[in-house]
Amino acid sequence: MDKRPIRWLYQELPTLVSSGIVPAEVAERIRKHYGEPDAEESGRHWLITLFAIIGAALIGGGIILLLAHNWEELSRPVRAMISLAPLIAAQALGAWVLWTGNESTARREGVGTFLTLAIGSSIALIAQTYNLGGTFPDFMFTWTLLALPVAYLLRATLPALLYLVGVTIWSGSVMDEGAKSLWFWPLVGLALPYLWMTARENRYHPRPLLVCWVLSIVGAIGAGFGAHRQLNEFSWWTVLFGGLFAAWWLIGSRWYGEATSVWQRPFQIVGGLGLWVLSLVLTFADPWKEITQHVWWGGWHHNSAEWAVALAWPVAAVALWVAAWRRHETSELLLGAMPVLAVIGHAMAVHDMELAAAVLFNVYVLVVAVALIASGAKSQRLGIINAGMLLLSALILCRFFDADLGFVARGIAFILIGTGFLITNLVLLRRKGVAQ
Amino acid sequence: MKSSRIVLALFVVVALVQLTVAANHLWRSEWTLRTGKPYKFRTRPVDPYDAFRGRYVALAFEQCELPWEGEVPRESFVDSWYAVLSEDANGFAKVLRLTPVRPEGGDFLRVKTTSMTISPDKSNFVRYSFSFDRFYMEERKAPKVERIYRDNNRWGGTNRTTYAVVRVRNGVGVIEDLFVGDKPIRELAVSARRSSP
Repeated sequence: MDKRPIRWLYQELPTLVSSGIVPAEVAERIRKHYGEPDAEESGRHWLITLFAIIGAALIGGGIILLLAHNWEELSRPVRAMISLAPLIAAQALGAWVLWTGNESTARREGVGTFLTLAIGSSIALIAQTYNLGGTFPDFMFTWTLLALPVAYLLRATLPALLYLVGVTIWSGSVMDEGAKSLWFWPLVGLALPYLWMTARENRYHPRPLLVCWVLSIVGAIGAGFGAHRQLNEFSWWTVLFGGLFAAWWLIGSRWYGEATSVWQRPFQIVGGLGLWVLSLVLTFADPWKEITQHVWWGGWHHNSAEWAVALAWPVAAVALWVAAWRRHETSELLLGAMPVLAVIGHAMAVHDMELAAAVLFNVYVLVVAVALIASGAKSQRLGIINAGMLLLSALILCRFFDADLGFVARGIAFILIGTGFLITNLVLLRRKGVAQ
Repeated sequence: MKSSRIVLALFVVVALVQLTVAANHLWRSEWTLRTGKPYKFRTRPVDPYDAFRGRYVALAFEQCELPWEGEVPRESFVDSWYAVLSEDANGFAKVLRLTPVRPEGGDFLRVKTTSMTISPDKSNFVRYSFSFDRFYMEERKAPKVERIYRDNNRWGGTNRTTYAVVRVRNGVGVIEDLFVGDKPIRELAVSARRSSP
C-alpha cells in the first residue's frame, strides 16, 4: 500500500481539526484506522541495524579465524602487528562515526560490535603469537572491561549485551577461586548506567528492553555462580533463587506494569517463569529430603560477603513485596511471597519435616493457580485464565509422575486436562463474542 | 556539538587504553625475546589425551615444586611468587628458590603458586606453575607435533630429551622454541610430513 497519501493526510489533519472541518475524535479514528505510516519504515530501519550487526560480527569472526590460522610464513613482529590491525581498524571506524556525528543505529551497533570483537581477537592473537599462557578468566576480564566503554561512547546496545554475557562467563570461570565470582555484581553494576541512559526517555524502547532481557537471564546465572558454595553445602538454592526471581517479578511489575506484550515484560517473564518452575520442583519431596540429609551447619565458615549476597536477594524481595503491598498491588503479592515460603520450607526441612515442606508448596502452587484463574475470569482475560490452568495442569501432572501411576491413568489425566482447557477457552471466547 | 566533541575525545582516550593493553603484551614479549637470557626448561609428560588442545601443545615442566624450609607463610601465600633461576651441570634451567618478594637482581620468573604441603615433620613443599604452558602451532602441523611430543614424553619411557627454550627478563618468560632431542619440533613436524605417504 502506498503510504504517501496517508502521510499527506496526517500532515493536513491538525489544520483540518483546528479549522473545525474534521472533529478531533474523527481525526483520532482516522489515525487508528490507517495506523502509523512510518511503521514499515521503522521495521526496515531495524532490519538494516540487524544486518549491520550480523555483518560486523561475521567480518570480525572471519578476521579472527583467518588470523588464528597462525601463519608461520610471516615473521613474528609482522604477525604481531597484523594482530593489532583489526583493533586499529575498528577504532578508526568508531572515531569516524563519532566525528561525522552519524546517528544511524545500524552504523553505531555494527561498529560497536566489530570493535568489541576486535579487542578480544587482538589480545588473543598476540598471546598466540608469543605463546603466552595466561588464564581464560584473566583474558575474559581484560576483554570485557576494555569493551564496556564502547557501549557508552557509541551508544550501542550490543556491546553492552556482550559485556553482560562476558562478565557472566568470567564469573563462572573463577568459581573455584574463593569469593572472586562475587565481583559479578559490581561488574554488572558498571552496565546499569547504560540501562538508565537508554530507559530514561522510554523504558519500552527495544534498547532498554534488550538489556533487561539479558540482565534478567545472566543475573540469575551469575547469582548461582557467586553463591555456589552456599548452594552446594546448604542447599540454599531454594531461598536464593526464590528471592532473586521474586525480586525480578516485583521489579518488573513495578517498572514494566504498563507493558502491552510479552516482549515488554522481561523481568516479569523471567521472574514469573522462574518462580513457577522453582515452586513446582519444590512440590516434590526429594529436594527437601536433600536438605534434611545433606545440610551440615557446622561448615558455616564461608566468606561473609558470599552470605551477604546470598541473603541480599531474599531480603530485597521482601522489601519489594512490602512496597507492593503498600501500593495495594494484590496481583503481585501471591507470586512475590514465594521466598518467604522457601525460608519456611527450608526451616521445616532442616528440622526433618521434609514432607510438610513439600505439602506447603503443593498448597501454595494450587492457591496461585486458582487465584490466577479467578482473577482472569473476573477480568475476562483469557491469557490469565490459561496461565492459571497451565500451572494447575503442571501441578497435577507433577503429582501423577510422583505417584508412579500407570500409562492408562496418566493418559486419562492428560485427556481430562486437555478437555478442560478446550472447554474453558471455548466458553470464554463465546462469552466475549456475545458481549461484543 | 560540544558534547559530541567530548564524546569523541573520550573515545580517543578509551581507544588508546585498549591499544596500550594489547600493545603492552606485544612489546613486553618482543623485548623479552630480543634481550632476555635463554634458559632450557626440561618438559615432563602430560596427559596424552590432554596434550593437544586445538592449535597448541600443552606443556608441563620438570621444575614444578620446591621444598620450603620451615612453615609456609600462610598470610603471604598469594598466588604470585618469584622463582630465582640458575642452570644445572647439564645446562638446563633450575629453580634455586621461591620467594614472595621480587628479587633485586639476577634472573627470576613470576610464577603462580598452586598448592602447598604442610606436614608435621616440616618437609613442606610449594608447588608452582610458570606463565608459559602452551606452544602454538599451525593447524596442519599441530597434530604431527602432538604425536612427536607424546612419543617423546611418555610416563616412565622418555627416550629423548624434550625442552623449551625460554627467554627470561625482568620476571617475564617467553617461549622461543620447543626442542625434541636438540631439534626444533617444527623441523621434526616438517620431516614427519615429508616421510608420511
